[in-house]
Amino acid sequence: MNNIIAIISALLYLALLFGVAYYAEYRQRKGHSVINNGYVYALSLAVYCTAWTYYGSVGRAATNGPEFLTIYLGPTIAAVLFWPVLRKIIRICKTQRINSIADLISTRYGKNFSIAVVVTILCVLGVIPYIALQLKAISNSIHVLGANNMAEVGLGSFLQDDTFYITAVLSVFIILFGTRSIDASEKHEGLVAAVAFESIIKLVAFLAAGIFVVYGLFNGFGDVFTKAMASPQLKQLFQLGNNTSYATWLGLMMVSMLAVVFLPRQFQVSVVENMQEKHLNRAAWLFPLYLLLINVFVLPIALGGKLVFGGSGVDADTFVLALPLHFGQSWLGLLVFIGGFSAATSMIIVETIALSTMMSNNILTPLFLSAKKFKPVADGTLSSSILNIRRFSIVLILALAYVYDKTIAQYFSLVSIGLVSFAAVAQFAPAVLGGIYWKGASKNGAMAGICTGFVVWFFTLVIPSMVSAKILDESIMTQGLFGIGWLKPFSLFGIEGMDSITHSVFWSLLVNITTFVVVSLNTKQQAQEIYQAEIFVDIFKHSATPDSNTVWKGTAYLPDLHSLLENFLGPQRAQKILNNYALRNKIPLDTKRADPRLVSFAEKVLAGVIGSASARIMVSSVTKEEELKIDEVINILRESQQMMELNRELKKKSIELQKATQQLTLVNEQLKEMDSMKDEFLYTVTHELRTPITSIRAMAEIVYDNDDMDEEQRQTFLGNIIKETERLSHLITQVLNLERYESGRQKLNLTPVLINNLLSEGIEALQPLADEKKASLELQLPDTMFIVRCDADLLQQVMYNLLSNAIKFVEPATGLVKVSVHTNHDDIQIWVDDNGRGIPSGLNELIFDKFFQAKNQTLKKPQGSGLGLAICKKIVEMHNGKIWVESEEDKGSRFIFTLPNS
Amino acid sequence: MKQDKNPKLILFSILLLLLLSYPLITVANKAALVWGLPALYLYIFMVWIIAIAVIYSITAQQYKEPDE
Amino acid sequence: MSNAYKILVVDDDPYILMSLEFLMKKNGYDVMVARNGTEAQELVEKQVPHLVLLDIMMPDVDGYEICRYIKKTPHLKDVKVVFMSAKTKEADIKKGYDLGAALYVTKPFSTRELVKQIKELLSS
Repeated sequence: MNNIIAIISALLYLALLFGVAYYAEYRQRKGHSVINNGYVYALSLAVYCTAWTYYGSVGRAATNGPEFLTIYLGPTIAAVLFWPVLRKIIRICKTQRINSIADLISTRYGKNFSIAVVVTILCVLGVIPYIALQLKAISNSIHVLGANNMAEVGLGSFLQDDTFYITAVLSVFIILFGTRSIDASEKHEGLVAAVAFESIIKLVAFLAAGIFVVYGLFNGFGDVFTKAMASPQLKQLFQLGNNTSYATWLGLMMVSMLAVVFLPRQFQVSVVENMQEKHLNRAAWLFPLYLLLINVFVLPIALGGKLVFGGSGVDADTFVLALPLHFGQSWLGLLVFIGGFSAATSMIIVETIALSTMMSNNILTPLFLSAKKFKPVADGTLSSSILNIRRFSIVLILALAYVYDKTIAQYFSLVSIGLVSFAAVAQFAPAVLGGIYWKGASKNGAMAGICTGFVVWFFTLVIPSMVSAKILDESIMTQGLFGIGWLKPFSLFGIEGMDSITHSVFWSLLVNITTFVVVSLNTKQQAQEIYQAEIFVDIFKHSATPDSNTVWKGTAYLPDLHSLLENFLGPQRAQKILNNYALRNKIPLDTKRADPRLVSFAEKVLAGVIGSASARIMVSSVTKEEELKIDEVINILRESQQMMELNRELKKKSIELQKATQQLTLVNEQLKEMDSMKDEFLYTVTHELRTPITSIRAMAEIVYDNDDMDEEQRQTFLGNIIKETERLSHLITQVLNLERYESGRQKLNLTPVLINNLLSEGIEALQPLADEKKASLELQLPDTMFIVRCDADLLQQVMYNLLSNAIKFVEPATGLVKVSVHTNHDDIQIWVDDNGRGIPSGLNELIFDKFFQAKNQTLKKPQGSGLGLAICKKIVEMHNGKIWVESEEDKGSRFIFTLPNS
Repeated sequence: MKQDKNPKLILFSILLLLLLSYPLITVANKAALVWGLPALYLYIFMVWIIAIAVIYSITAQQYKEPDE
Repeated sequence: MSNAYKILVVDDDPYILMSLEFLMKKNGYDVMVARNGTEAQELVEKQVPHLVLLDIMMPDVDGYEICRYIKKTPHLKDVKVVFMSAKTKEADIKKGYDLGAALYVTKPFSTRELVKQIKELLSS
């Protein structure tokens, strides 16, 4: 394997990336976004894992043991806070068309220009080494793959340098997919898709390497660890070593927690490229899961490398790649190389986009516009100029990174450069977090905090690196700045015992926060700041009523405003955007004077293109703005506050009303249903009463009208009348009983009852009925006596109903009805078996309904009120028991009811 | 009624930070193997996995958006 | 016999059946009885009575069904059908008449009235 193959593979891989990005943009144009989901969003966040993770973690683990994990544990804790905190930042940035972290800070603090510049410079200084680190990793890996010795390639010989070509191709890629639209707050779907794709590649490749080492070279995790345990030196890597105090552990975790939000590339993917807030929900657990997976094999690979290479001088940073190659696995080696390449390129791509937006919006474009003595000319050339500036920024950033890589980067390991960047971007945390939760945070406070933090960071981390690179004299490290002992970069105020990163983060953030708070408390905010503070801190209130209020006051002419927008957006787009806004807010566009809302809107649109600070300057160049007085701002805020409260009140009222209406409808329906059930019941009852009354009346009329009928006949009729009257009164009693049970008016008269007796009495009572039909009645009682607390009279009714039913349904002569008792742990079961015709399947539950027979003609008769089983069910349920039937057609039925065992 | 997952998440982030820092982490900070795995790694990865599960269970629920 | 009309009485309630059988005989009709729908259908088919006193709710085939059968069978279609039912809902009564019943009496009814109405029906 040689360099050529590596470079060709890398270029082929980049071609594939172009394909992915093109495909994503193609789908976007078709209206089928591939990135509009939580999975891709989470994968794009994994741009956090760079070549540093890919190669550097192993190197770090090989010297400092578990310390590397802090870099991923911090983001895991941060992910818990995605929904509470990051969502707020996303909402702010979307409503304000913010497209970078510099823009976010400057917008919050009164759209201040200088603060945007400071943040941009800090980002560029802090992050360019980090990009350089990726280039270094790429060239290192190419050399390892080509088995070359790490030949020092000087700046002069860059034409023979592979990194140079790869950097060049990357810049083309970034320019193509990163500067498609003039509006930087628009999404770069192609880029995000490519980055998500790269996240998959690097994870797969790293896992493949891990599996190879753990299961190919060793016999699983246990084997690696046991072998390492045998070495006193490697054993030390199992715990926090001498280099890692608990303070360092915590410090690194905290700084990574901040970095995962404030690194320009993380801000780009998590905030600017965010499609929907709800994607945060999925990313909040998927992203930590990704981090966990990519870390599982780090320590085993480090140990494996140490065990295999021993002291042969192979750099631990290259173990991932060196191990497969050492054992002749060239294809795996190539895959691992591509994985590392993807980790590096994804970082370079996103970081460069983010930095170039900041650089062009906050530094280069303002310079360009002021040099040109800007005048509104609607020739549309401006928009292409700005795009060119952004392209230039991209090239500039990559060039700076390239130069840094070739000159200074060689003195450091992968991780240390990354951590310097982390410490740099952590300086934004107080201004951003303070800005979105504390209305009192002021521009001066933020500026002072960032600047002082920046100075401390520079002094404690950058100066030492310049010393290492022999740019500065070493005396500053040993004797302190200007020979002052307590100004040594690695031990400020003489405090020692922290590693350089923790030391720097501790001091810089301490100074940063203190200054930020103290200055904020002691300076007065300007009108614009008060307004922005209100919007930021209460964004969830304000974003509900966007465009509802503006703080712009002054004179502006519509044609000026129009041509200003045309300059940046081109005539067509400017016209469309203005028309839409005017239409939505019912603002007339045929006036000469521009509505203040239009001015505000134009400023917001421009902010998406050139950043809020520049946009403000642009807008004021074509309008005559009057300085707002503080009390005017307060009035506007109060009005909008009242509006919002009114809105909320109305919304609440209407929701309440809606709820009440729903409840009423529900109750009404229930009443109707109950009513119709009652009707139904009454109808069925009267229906059941009609039959006996009919026969009674008929027979009575016959007897009355026919004096001449013979005595025997008369007796029969009169006897039948009596029977029918009994049936009638029985029915009435049952209806009343059921009604009493159902209404709950029947109180149970609970006494200890001997079940054995209860059953024998039941059998006795029905013996005559059985005899009449020549059916047999059997009672099987166990030897034990069962005592249950229950209402004996009511249970007697149950037995009566069940037995009489059973007798009714069996055939004369052959009929057999059997009662038996069964018991298990919880309850006593009483079975009533018969050998009657059984119950058609499907009706097993329905037969317990009131008047089921009457409603189902096939079962109507033989006799009965149709209420017996319903009554049984009610009584058993009142005793907390259950009743059901098991039956087979033509074989008989078994009615079972249970009573709780007391 | 309105439910807000933010308090749960904020409390959990604090708990997670505590679990992963001094002094709790000293429980596992020794050069020993537990079930064949280094004690500290085992502890950290267990906490990690549980954290992911907890975040999932909190964020996967459908809450009403606390848009005041 | 002045009143040699054949009448079929169908009801599953034995007492009602018994009473009506007695009454119809007493009024000189030729009476047949059926305790359920199946029996009733057979008898109608074979005997072709002039009039059927028909209960509606019966265990096997319901009265409506029998009426529908009678009205659609050519040689039976002149058989007069009188429903007697405990179903008192407007819709049930209408359904009875729609099926071609000559009369629908709701239970409980006066036997004296019923006899009078049958007489009228048969003489018309």
